[in-house]
Amino acid sequence: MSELQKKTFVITRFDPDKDEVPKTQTYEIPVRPDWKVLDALNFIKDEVDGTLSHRWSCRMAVCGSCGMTVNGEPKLTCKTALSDYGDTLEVGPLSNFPVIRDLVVELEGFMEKFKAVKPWILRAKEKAPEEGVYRQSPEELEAFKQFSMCINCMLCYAACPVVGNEPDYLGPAAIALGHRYNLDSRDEGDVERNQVFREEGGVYSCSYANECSEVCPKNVDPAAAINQAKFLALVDWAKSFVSSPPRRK
Amino acid sequence: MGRLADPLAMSPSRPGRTRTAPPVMPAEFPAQGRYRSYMLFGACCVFFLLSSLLFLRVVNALATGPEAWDELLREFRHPLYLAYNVAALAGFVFTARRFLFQLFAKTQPPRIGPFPRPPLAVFSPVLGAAWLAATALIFCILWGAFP
Repeated sequence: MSELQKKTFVITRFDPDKDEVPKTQTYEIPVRPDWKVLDALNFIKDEVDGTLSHRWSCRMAVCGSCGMTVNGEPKLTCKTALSDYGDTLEVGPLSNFPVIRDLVVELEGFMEKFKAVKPWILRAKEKAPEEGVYRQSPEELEAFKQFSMCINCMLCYAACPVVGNEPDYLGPAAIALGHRYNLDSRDEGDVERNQVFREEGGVYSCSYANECSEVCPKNVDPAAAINQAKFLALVDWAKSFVSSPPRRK
Repeated sequence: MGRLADPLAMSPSRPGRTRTAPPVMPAEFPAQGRYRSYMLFGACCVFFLLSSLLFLRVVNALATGPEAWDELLREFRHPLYLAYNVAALAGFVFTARRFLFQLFAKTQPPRIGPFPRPPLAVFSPVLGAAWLAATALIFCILWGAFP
């Protein structure tokens, strides 16, 4: 027990039944040096204040549930070591999202943006099962693999300055995933997705702050995906002067 | 806590049953941390706008005649113009450094038509060499190396 040390947590609290605006509450708790921020939140929830609400699930940076802001920066709390911080930590809900309660944010807006880019394989005509599987070479896989590592933790949305100012903006994760399917050799839905990308609130809304890529815990680099999609839009626009409109791959 | 974001940011198209607290902007936005560099990058567009207007003025003077051109050159010797040129140069170098050498490479898709993307590590040296060559060329022109 000699390993225990005290740390102070300043946590944003919001009860929709009582509070007009979020407030903060301070907890001083004993922590172990190998704890993550999520361990401390779970300790507070279990031992100090059972009314604290936060989301979490896998505890190993795979499910993307425990995204919060730690000292102002979006972090996966299960991956963020307490030892990286001083004696006091401020923990709040993700920026740019409406807050349902304490550290829990509203996800429905994110899910709507996600569905808009059709993040699944679209084919003009499906192969019959007896024709076999869709084969893909390692090079074809490499083209999109990076963008398929997204765990939908929404840290990129919390870091993006455009998301907070332009409610229609599709946002980094949705565009990165749509772009991932556009690059997939098995997919034929690029024309449909590009229509969504090139509308109001699509790729042109991105002003390349690059914050989404800075905070991404899985190194997906959504800023690269958005700006690749923007660049391909430019190429298609230039091509449109000399050829017919783009068709499905 | 950051300043308030647009109240509709990341809201669902139909409001849920629970009352929510309004979204706030990232805590460090706009002037702290990495956002400072981003804001400065955006602010540098002022130099591009002013320099484009200045370029139109130069073209106009050239088209008007030798007297207008001489008058323009006299104006350009004013300390305010010189100060602007120094500030604009700093702005252009900052913009080019951030975009061309930090962000540009990854904007290139894996394939552009039939052509595969060169390795990302190649971009910075090639762009740097092109920049140096262009700077040397312009320097030579201004020096009068080409009759």
